[in-house]
Amino acid sequence: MTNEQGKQPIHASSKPKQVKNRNKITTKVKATIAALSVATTLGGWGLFAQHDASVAAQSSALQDNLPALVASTPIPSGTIPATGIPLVTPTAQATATSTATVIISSPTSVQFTGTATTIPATETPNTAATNTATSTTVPAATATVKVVTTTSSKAVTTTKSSR
Amino acid sequence: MRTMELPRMKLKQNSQFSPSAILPKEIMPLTLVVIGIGIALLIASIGPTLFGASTAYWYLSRASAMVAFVLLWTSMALGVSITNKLSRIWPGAPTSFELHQYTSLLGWAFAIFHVLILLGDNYIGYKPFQLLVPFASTGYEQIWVGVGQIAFYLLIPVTLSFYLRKRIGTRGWRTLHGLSYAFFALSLVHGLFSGTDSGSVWTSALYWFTALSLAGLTAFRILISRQQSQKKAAASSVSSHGSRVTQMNTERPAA
Repeated sequence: MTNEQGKQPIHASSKPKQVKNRNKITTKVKATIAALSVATTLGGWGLFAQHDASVAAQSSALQDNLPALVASTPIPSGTIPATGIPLVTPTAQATATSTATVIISSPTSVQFTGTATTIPATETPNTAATNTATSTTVPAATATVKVVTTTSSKAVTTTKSSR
Repeated sequence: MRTMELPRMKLKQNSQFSPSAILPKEIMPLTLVVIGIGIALLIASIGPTLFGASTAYWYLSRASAMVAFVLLWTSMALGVSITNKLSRIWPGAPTSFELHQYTSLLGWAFAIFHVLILLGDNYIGYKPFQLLVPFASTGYEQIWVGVGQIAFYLLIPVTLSFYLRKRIGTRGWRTLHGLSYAFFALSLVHGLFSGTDSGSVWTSALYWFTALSLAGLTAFRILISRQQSQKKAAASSVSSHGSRVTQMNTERPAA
């Protein structure tokens, strides 16, 4: 191994050997990379296929078992208490006014004016589970008596003989 | 005597067969790409007639995309580690460069396979022009698939720049190589938004790891280059100062 000037270079035999060794290693690494890449692609194909197959199997199993699952699921039985609040509260209002006028012609006339007022009966129904309604009716009546004195000139004829 | 020995030597060289003896070293790796195209087209064309409608093409496309992504990340990481001098620690700059070049080509081959194998998939029903023209495919994630197609086309000048370095010069080569960052970003986006497996933990871990490691290596490279430029500036100022002193000494008149 000589260079252009014919001189022997330092470590002339060791350097090409190193390069040769490096090339050998690099070639091996390259082959490993290529093999790994191909293997990963094929392995990835297998893994993806397996994963998708397992997912599909799970979903189909779920679909198959769905009627059985529905049948086996207990339906809760019982009475649900109906709690209802009536939106419209009925208000029963009865007002009765009776006016009676009595005129007594003689000697005085007394006029009765009676007013009967019934206090509105408010019904508060309790629509609970028992659905009981209580109505409280408080009737109250007031009567006003008016005495009307009327002076009427009436000729009263008395005879001694009749006495 | 010499004329008699020469044919015998030639015979001895030819007796040891090696592919590098037939093809030049520069063209050799391109065969990987041709092989990738060939295998993909073969499977895509013969496969449906042999196996019927199958999801195998879709799985193969997904798997090869992942492999291509990892290979191209490896190539980029090796390339950056050459410039930031981390490769001097392991595995050495020449080995790094060779592996950088090789993984880039292999990644390209797998990317081609990832694209062309979809011709066999009849679920989306890709046509050749839809695979080759960006944003032409309407069957699946039009925008993100288009982004991936652009990334693929960016990869071509980056990979070819290995062989055009002498012709285009170092500056042109460096500019073309800078496109690899755009390529990586686009392929990452393509994988994130159109990948079927991007929702899984291992895929997101892979994306995070590759992106962060590359960012770290690049940051280290910038730091190293800044330090080098500072050192160079300091050395040049010292040398200029020294030369000025010697000049002054020579110009000083003799007492």
